[in-house]
Amino acid sequence: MAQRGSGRTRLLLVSLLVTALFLITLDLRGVSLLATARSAMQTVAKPFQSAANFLFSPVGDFFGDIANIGQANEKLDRLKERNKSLQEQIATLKDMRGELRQLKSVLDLAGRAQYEVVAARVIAFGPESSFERTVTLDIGSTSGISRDMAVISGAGVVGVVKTVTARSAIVQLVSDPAFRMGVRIAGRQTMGILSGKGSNYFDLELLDAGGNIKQGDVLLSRGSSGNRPFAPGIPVGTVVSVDNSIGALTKRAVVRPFSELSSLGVVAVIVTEKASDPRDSLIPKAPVATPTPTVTVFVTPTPSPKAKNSNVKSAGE
Amino acid sequence: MSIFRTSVTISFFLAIFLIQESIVNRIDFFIGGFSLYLALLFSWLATEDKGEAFLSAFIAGIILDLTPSFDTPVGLWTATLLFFSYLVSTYRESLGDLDERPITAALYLVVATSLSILLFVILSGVLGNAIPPFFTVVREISGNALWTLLFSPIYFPVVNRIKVRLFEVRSAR
Repeated sequence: MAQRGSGRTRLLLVSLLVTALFLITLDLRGVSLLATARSAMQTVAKPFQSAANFLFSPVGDFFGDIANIGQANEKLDRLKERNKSLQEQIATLKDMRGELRQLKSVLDLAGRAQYEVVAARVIAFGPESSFERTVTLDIGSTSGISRDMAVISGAGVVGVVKTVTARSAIVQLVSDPAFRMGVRIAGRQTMGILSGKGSNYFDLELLDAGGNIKQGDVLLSRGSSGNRPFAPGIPVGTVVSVDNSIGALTKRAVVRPFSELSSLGVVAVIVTEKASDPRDSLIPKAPVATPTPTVTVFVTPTPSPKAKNSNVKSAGE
Repeated sequence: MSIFRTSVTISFFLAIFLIQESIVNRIDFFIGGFSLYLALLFSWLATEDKGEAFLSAFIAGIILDLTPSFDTPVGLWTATLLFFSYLVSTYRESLGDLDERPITAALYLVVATSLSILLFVILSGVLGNAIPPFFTVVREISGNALWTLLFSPIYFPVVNRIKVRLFEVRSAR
């Protein structure tokens, strides 16, 4: 009985194996029925796959992510380092671009005035707590710098060289409370004494009590004896307010400098200057406003249907 | 095998096939892949009589052969699984009661699934299909073995519970 059962199962196995081999043969011969069966299976599976895709896609990479967590951390660290390095490069490039712009403008001013200059980088600002306003330049006597040379930026006067070492120089800024320089109003011969206040604004005291001065006037250096420290015609600043107090012995005004003294990067020390006075030719040009395009819209009212009908009617009549 | 039992077997493997295709295949296992289908099939075969094991292997093989993404001939998985169902049903007695011997059960599943995949690849090559590179085959088989081993505590309880629910309730009626 057991042998009979065993024979039947063996027969079953053989028949199933033969069926499997038959299917393989059919498939290798390219019977389309099996391809149809596969596509039918795909049709059955597709809704489930779509549903699973919707449900499980956020967690599908869970195991892979766990496996790659070490690599991901390394990659993150590398990217952080790279990001830091790129940020440093961006900062350096921005700094260099700013310095280049300043150098271009200072050389432009020196070229127009025909000054022989030595460009320098501001490497330090003096302590404000000492009430002195100074900056340190990265050039000194080895570059031909000496005491009492004028220092300019692309916009105008910055200060005067006060102390020189072999490779550095300390400049007294125009804003220093002890700083004094002779100036004249551009376009006129009205002269005055400019003095620093320790802030970004200067005091101007006219030499002539009857002198005429108004807001917006441009001040230029008057020139010193032997052109030291200042050659004539270097732009200084503009008058922002005038003190017209009755009874004052002299006229006073507040001046804003052309140079941004708090953000100096590249400056130039005037080594030799032209013998002739450039007069008012070095005054910085006022920025030209960019015209904003305007759009004009014309609106024509459309006649209403009612009005149209009444027109038709009246035409019919 | 009764019509009821056959239809339950078809439904079970079809359901596992859909789970494999829809969910398990979506998971990015970092070493190889994982065939829940084969693991549950061999768990199923280990608890069947000879004739039922052959029929179950045939049904499971046909369903697996109809996987749309396969390029291999239809019938190849069927033949492979029939061969292994013969081996399992012949040597099942020597494995003992797998419910009582979890380590043996885990090793049985690992060896059976790994060898069936290997045989399938070899037969596929014999029939003229492109064989994947050696290291790919090794990685796939070892990955599948690893995951089969890790999840081995669940297969037999799941299969037994399903069988109890479906077949014994029916026979009690």
